[in-house]
Amino acid sequence: MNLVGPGTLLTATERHQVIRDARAGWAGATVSNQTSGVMGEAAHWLAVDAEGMTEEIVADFESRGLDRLRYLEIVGVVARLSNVDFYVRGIGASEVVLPEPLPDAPNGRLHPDALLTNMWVPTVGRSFAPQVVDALPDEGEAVRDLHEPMYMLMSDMGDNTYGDLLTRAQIEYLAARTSYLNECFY
Amino acid sequence: MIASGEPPLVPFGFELAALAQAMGTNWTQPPTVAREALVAVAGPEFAERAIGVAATFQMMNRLLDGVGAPVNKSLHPLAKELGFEPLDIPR
Repeated sequence: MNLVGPGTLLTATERHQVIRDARAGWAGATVSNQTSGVMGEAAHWLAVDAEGMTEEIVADFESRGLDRLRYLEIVGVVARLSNVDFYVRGIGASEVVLPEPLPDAPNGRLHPDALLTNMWVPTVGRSFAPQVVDALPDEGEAVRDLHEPMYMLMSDMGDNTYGDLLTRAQIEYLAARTSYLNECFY
Repeated sequence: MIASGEPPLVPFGFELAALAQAMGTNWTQPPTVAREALVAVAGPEFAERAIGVAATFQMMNRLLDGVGAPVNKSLHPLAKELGFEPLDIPR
């Protein structure tokens, strides 16, 4: 699923606003864009302080009209955007400019087995990191479309001898250092 | 290892840690100094691959923290070692 196109539950225009609100946070905005409402709050905090999210905050979003599945789509958009934008900035290229939003409707495709179990959002079965947004199957697939070429193939993840230009130790060292800085302990 | 000043055991560990630090803590500027230092010791293809890994974990961290993925109890000692109280992590 294209990051800037229509999503599962959000229109392309809504996803573009999520992208603008996340980018504003990375550019230094200390509070969310009030005109974006609760979706803007979610986008802002997922961008700048995801480790500070709590069940109570997600429940508060829900009480103000942002249901868990649309919240999950925002998680997917902001997360994938971070991959793209941090990579582009990392190599010294210019930020990708948003195109005009497509008018097509969201596709509405949800995973029939998604359930609210031990996370804040519906998940499918026993979810590992690359599958946590699979309640929205197209978002889940899009996550893996980034995760596999930029980290490693799912089939290689259990192989501690894996290596390419980097050794497995170098890959995991980068992963651990980044996760430490983000206070992510999963 | 970084905090103690001892050299990391991972080859190019100092440069890789500096790259992750620059990418993860300065969201408005490209990590030019850290990237060029890594390119100087390991080459541009290696540096590009490393940038991709670090960027991917920006994504994975937000996914996991955003959905409330529970912290595995086996990692609680590691969290303590890093200075965090596991039960204070809101998962």
